Amino acid sequence: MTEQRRLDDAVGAWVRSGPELASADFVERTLRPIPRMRQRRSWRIALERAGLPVVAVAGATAVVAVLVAGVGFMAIGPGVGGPAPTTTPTPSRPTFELRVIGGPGDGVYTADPTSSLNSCRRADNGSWSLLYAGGTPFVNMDLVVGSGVDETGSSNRVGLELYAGAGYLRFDPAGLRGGDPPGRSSAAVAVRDGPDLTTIEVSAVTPDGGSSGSDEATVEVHLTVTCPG
Amino acid sequence: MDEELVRRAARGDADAFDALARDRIDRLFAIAIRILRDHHDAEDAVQQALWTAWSDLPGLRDPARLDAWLYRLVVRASYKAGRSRRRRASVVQLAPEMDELPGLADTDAITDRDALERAFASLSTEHRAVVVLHHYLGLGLDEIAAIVGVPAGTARSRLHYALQKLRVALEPSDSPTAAAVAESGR
Repeated sequence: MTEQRRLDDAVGAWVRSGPELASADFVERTLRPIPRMRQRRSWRIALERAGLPVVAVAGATAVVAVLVAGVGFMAIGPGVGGPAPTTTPTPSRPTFELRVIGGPGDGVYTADPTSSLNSCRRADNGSWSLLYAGGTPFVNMDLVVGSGVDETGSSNRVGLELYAGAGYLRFDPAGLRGGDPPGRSSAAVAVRDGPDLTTIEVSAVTPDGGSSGSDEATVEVHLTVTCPG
Repeated sequence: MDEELVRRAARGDADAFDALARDRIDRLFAIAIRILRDHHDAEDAVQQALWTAWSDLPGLRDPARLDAWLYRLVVRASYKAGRSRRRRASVVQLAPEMDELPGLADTDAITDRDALERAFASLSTEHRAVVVLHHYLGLGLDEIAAIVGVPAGTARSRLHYALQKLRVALEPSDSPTAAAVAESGR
């Protein structure tokens, strides 16, 4: 055996040595919350569920896109002497600052720009939703704000399900989704519309669900979300 | 069988995902703790990887690639945890479960393990990941490159550099190899 081979074997043996098993408690802490977490919806899966062939629909979509782009280009014309064409800037991703006071999730969390899931949407009726998953410590947030919420912060039409670090909590005092009995939580939400950004501010007091899923310590939640558009 | 579980999990079947995850969580933890050398950071990385896997599973096109995809997620989560740990500037040594290293005299084993720990701790998380994927999982360079998201040549150079540094840790400090690695300082 050459000297280098002997050293490589020693390095390999050292790398292979060490713990092989995750603790049972860690396995349960990791897997138990998953049924309550949302999955990202793939358009492919949606099409498969609808019984539509993915390739054909994608092709048809591409054809429609090309036709729309072509018609739009002809309508604009050559543009001689007209205003310079403008481009629409790509909207940035939502950002947030989340402060949890008390409970196992106590801490301050911000949006991770590399997160795999971070989308903010405004529905036609004026309601808002935010879905986010990412960061270290990991945060999984499902926020919904009801329609008709103004800047005053006098509305409680907000629901949140949140995993933040070791904490889990949910509140929905207005019953937008249900599952939060009267008096269990209190919350206030304000929505401020700007020219390019909408800011959603949420304050709440609610029990932390804890690792067992049952209500434990009462925590304060302060969340500021900035949504593009 | 696993591919059917993957398809079911991708359609929102949490029980199917649970079965897949329980079969793999020990291996993911073993990878993370070897890269990070820290129990708490390794648990954070595995937790993040599995929660991201559940969230993003509907986008996994080839169910047969589940394991490689999970390795990628846990390596990426380890990168994040590694960066976070560098900010905390803590280096934690694993409790050794092996009493001796093959090919080395017993009396040198503890000293050598300490030297390897120190040398490994001085590597970047990216270098450590390549070493672990190669020596622990036994993966080839092409597969490692796909998992860590770099060209195969980069994976090869990372492995070469890391192993050279680890070898030096086992050699006398006045050896020619030790001097060369110290000078390269990459």
